[in-house]
Amino acid sequence: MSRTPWRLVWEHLWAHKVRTGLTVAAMLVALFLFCCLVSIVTTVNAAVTSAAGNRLVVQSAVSLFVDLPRDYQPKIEAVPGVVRASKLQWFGGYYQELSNFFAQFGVDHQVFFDLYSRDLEIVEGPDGETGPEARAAVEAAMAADRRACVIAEGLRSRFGWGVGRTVHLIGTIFQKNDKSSWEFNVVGIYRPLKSNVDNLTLWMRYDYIQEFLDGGLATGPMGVGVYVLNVAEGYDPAAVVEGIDSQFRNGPQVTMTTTEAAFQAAFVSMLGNLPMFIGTIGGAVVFAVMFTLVNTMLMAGRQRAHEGGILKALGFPNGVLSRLMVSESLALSLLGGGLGIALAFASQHSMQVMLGSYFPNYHVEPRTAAYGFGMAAIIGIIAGVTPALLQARLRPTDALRSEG
Amino acid sequence: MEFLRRPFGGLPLGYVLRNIAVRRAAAFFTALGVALTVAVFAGVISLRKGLEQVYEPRGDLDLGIYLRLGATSEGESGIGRSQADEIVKERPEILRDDAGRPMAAAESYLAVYMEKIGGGVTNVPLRGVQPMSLDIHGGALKLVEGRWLRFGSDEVVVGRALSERIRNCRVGDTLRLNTVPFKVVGVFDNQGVYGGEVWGDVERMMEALERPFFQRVLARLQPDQDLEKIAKDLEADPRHPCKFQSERDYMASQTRLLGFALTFLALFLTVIMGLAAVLGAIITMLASVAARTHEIGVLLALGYKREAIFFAFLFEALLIGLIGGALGVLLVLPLNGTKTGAMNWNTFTDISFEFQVTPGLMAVSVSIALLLGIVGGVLPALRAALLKPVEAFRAL
Repeated sequence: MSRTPWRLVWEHLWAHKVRTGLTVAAMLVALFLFCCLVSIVTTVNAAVTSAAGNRLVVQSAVSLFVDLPRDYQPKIEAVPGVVRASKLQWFGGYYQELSNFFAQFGVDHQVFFDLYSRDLEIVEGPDGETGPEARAAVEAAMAADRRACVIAEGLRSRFGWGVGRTVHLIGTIFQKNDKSSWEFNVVGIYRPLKSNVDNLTLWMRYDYIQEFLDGGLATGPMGVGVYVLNVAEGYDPAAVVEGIDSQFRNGPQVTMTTTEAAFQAAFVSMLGNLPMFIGTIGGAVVFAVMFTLVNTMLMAGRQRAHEGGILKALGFPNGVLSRLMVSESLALSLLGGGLGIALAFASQHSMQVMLGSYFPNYHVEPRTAAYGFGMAAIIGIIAGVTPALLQARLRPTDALRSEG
Repeated sequence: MEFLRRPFGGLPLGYVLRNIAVRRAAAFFTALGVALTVAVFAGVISLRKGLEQVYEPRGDLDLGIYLRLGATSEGESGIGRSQADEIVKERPEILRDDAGRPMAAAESYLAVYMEKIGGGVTNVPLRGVQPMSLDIHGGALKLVEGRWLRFGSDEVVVGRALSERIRNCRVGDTLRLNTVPFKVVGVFDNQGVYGGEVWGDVERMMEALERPFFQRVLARLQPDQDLEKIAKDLEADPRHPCKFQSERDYMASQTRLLGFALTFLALFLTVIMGLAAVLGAIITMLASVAARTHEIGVLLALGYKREAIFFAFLFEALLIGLIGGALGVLLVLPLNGTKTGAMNWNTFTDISFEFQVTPGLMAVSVSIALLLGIVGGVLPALRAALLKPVEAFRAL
């Protein structure tokens, strides 16, 4: 009589269809929410972990909004170990409406695509090229057209822009004196390969903006927000950092050179307590649904006192009774949780759209799903053990006497 | 009185209370689910309320802000010295003080890197002010420690909200801006955004930061001005067009992104968690009905109306909701007044604010809990009320 009557689990789940359905639904909702919240946090952190180790960012030590003089660039390039330095200037324009916000940067197009070759991939060139030729074609097109720009796939799907399209942006930081909007010609489309590049960015030629500034045709910062550069192989990044910063220690603008990872980490740190808030809420959600499941199982346990008595009278040990209870609970939690996790994966795209420009790289990592599944299992076990313990304490005669 | 004792078509109130007491564990767990939902809602909304309070304009002052045309915040703005002088001296809508001086000040603004006390870096607003800035704000600024800065020297005063969260922001500390050390000589309090800023002499700031231009002109306005007309005139000004806004409108525009995000978060979470809580309530109530099938049969046989049974069960669910709501409010109440910081995505600076659990918010939270109880209770109550008397009577 030691075989566990697994069939009972199935029968019970099936006998209370409404309750089973409701409990599975509650687990589904909770695990879906949990995965979404955790994914926001992992998305934020992914930018840090995927940053290139050999890339440095030179910025003002005072503020993100203080520009570095343009004549810093040759001085930075002269530091031993520095290869390929590019300006990275925040353009800060918008398309038609202020709410159509996305990132735009002016860069040195000659070196930019080399600098970021491992971070983004050109998926469409000026004449519809794809594959490896696309990048060379885009570089040539950028060199040939002062107004050329490259946009993310995300911008293509958001605004329907394609290669050959002229994009009009209204400047907030850089403004033309004649009050007209800025025009950029899309010559290529890129896809981010890592989370440190987002899927809603437009890259343009810095020298095009510079022409307007130097010609007195536009107003805006004359300097450059940050310089990005690669450290040549065989050089110690720390020595390169010191080599750059020591040149400017006495001004005119003190610099702070950091690895790209540290630069991204600073942004995450600026989000303040956001990850903590989200974590707390995620915890509350899991807790709340655990109560629901514990509740369901307590009820199931109570209704099963009579049956438990029969099983005991038939000679089944307490262990079998507990195993049945925990299995039933686990079946509910893993089914609901699994569906919730699946829904979190399925809804990635709609979440990206809803979260818009805040988290353009939102995605659910497999690790998050595994974590969620583990959580569902723990909830299932806790919810099953509680009534199992109560049941184990029953004496068969009392149990038999009780009404179902 | 008779109605209060037997409100459900003759069923005594005690009947419902007894039912909850009998299944207190289940009722408590269900109420906890409701409580956590309500707590998350109230927590997020209390953050938004705190944020709104910081940006709440002072009603008694008519302040105007002049920015560069096209700028959406101070950080993006830039106004040259000659234009600033012109605005301060010539604009007719600016109020004059007793000595006949225009109550307007040209200010600089820059978000600078500072270290948080708990570790990490954040953007803190650094404002260069003129002596008139202090008069414009009048009683809204209170010195709580040290003294005000001396204009012309490398000194700063720090908002109280900052001095508790950011390094080097206490009286006697030194703040290094680019290559120049500034001495912290005082801490001031302001209920609004300024309580989270560092203030120094605008001329010294511009020199230290090598930024020889202002970001805005702030002015106290004469009463009863047609602000829209002023804004239109200034935008079309042939010499020096600029963007004019009342401080009220400006402040409102500065919390758009974060305020929207928090509202969205609160609604999203409440709907989804509420769904889970309602499912929990339905499960509990269905079990309650199932366990009492025989009892309901007896009641029906005794001649109690179906409505009476419906309302008795609905009331049971409502009570569970009420308990959950009260618990949820108790959970978030300790948050009230807790200081926190967040990034304002409009200005890209750190703002310090407090969770605000207001009585209104508590009322809304409890209402949501009651609603969750009702929604969770309707189906099971219907099921109870529609039981067939004979079959229910037979059920054991």
